[in-house]
Amino acid sequence: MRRFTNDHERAFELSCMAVAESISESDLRWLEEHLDLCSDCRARNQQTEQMIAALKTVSISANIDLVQSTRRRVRALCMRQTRSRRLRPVWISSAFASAWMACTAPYLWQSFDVTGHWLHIPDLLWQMGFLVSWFTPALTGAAVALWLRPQLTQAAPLRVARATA
Amino acid sequence: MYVTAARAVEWTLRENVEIARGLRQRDPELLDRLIERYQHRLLRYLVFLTGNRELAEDIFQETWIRVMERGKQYNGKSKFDTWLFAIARHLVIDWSRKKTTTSLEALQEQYGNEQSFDPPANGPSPFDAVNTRENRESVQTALAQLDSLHREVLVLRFHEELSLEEIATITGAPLSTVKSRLYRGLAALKPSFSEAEL
Repeated sequence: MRRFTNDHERAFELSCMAVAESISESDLRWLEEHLDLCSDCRARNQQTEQMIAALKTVSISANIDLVQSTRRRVRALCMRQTRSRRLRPVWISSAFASAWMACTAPYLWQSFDVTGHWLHIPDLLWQMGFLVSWFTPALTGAAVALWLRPQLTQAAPLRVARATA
Repeated sequence: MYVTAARAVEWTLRENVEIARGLRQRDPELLDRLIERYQHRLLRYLVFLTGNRELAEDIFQETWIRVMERGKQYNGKSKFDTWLFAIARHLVIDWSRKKTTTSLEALQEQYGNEQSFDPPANGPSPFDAVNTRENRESVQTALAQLDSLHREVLVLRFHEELSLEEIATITGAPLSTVKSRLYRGLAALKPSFSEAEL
């Protein structure tokens, strides 16, 4: 419990607290009684209320240019992030394709070589078969990228136009 | 009355959850609506906090970008404005650190008593308007002389009408500290206000 050096100090703190939040019933009763008796504290209390009323009238407003430019910046960033999110599957498939090509090349070549000789397939044919299967993941990745490209390029200008309208 | 209050609370909770969902999805329409809705309150808080309109406008933009980037962190359990003001406050502190100052008080010293407050849009009557204007000017002068920590609490409580608990969340200070700052702020504001009134 806070100790006050005198009743006036307590009255001032309680009057501040009374305007900022609710105070207990007993504190409120004590404050009212004190304000009835002490004209200085009553004047001080009125001044506090007046000051807070004046504080509430201070007005600051954001101008339209600031709001518009903020919206544009936020939308541009939103778009950039959406685009990078949409491109994620492309990057993943590219990484997968690259890893596939790097890791499987010697084994795939060897298996096609063995199978080709065992089945007496002409060299050119099994080598072409090797190339097709080796490039399949990369070709799939490229196809996905091509499929997503129109969506990425179309979404952007529409949103900017709406933001600036 | 209790039913109305309960409905208002429920509506706010539902709205917070929707905001959280929209922020997770980085919904640009939602961000537009939030910027529109909180533009004046956020800028006012920043102007009061920094004491400088230009700086406040820069941080205003950064705040919304941060909201977009860190939207996933908002869970909808607290009020959106509390979260928004906390982000803005952190950005002001980051800015002051970058400028090799260490606190909000140092920022106050840098931008000191610059007057950057606009007049209000409407006034009730000519007499009241003059009276209000005089009081407003007095309170502006008095506020500019306060240090940032006290000014911030006064503005959040009486201007933004946030509860003391919400102010504690924003400032990251214990409730007792917030109360003490509020009391000291009012105590410090009073002599300047009285002098300006005379």
